[in-house]
Amino acid sequence: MGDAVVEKRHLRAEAQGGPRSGAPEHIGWKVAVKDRLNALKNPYAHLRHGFSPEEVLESPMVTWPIRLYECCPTSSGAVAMILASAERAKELSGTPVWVRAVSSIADTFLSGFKVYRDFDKLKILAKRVYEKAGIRNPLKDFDVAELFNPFAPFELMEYDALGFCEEGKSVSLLRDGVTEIDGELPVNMSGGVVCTNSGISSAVNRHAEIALQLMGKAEGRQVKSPEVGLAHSWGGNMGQFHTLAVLTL
Amino acid sequence: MGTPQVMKKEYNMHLDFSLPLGKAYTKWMQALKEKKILGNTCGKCGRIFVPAKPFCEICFEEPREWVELDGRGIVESFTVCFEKFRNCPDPPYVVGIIRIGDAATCMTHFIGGLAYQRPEEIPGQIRIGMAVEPVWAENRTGDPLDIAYFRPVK
Repeated sequence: MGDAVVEKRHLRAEAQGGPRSGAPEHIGWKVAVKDRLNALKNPYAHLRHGFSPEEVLESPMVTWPIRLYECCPTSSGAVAMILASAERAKELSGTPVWVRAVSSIADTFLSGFKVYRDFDKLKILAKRVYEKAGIRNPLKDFDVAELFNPFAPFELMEYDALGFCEEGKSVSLLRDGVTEIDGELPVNMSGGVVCTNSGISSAVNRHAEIALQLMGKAEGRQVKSPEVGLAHSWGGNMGQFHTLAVLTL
Repeated sequence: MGTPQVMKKEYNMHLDFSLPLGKAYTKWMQALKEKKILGNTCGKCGRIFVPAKPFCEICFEEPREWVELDGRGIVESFTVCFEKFRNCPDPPYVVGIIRIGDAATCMTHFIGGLAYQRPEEIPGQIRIGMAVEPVWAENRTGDPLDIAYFRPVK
């Protein structure tokens, strides 16, 4: 429910024309359509149905303006990642993936201070991680990204926080297909959390999906020759905790 | 032979726990019993917190000065719930982010007293920035629900 409030706040700021402009109507369904279409190509995805705009827009309203098909399911699942020294990694894999930078951030537990307009702590974290990893232009420097979006519209707030676009232009990015699987920066090739939400492993999954993409092992959802990827996960009922990792070949 | 079905059992764990509220929240909740909405102020940055806070997040100071507000606020954001969730009222109902007076913080509460025929009409009944006032519960125990809900100011 807090999540619906977060999104409403975001849309309201957009509707008012500043600092985010250009989204007078609810657009979250379009993120859901993109992610649910991607899930069709992922044999590990939990939900692989309901991907047409009509199905998403006609699914039951849960907490206005968010509909059922914009909400994550409860899934069972597991993810394993093997972390090793550089030497051992080269022995274990012909295509090891390197962690160029990884960091986390935590917000205050007291929710009254929040204005629910954006993911302001994620923005701070991105600045730190990008600096460590030498990322100057996220949209150009990243080839793939997996963002934690238990509710589809969160993706838009994350585009903003992660600097994929000028602040407030996230809706254009979505509308122009930039983040579709064959776009300039594919986001949530796996179908994202909207399609598979297996608790904590769902957070690890964002990192695993980027590793698979870089290794060229993402099967039907494989993006062509990605070299640098961004994995994002968060936790806490208001998204108090964020983790970002820049992975490279 | 059909595909063997995997069985599922439904269960839930009942957890009792108590949360020590500390001085600031205790004073704030006690005042609700008397139909008073208090705030406390940071001596350094001057921000008012409603509900009261044990410390200022920016200055790390204990807000020591207390003020009484008239309880009127504005809707900063809201959602309308259409589904039944455990421990929540029967839908439809409105949850709002409400800023009381000039507080630096907001409180989450129900918005009621709306006129509608069908649930789908509810979102149109509320607007961001709308003035609201508290409707007090009959039996007050020192709890945020001593305010039954907020309603639009006529």
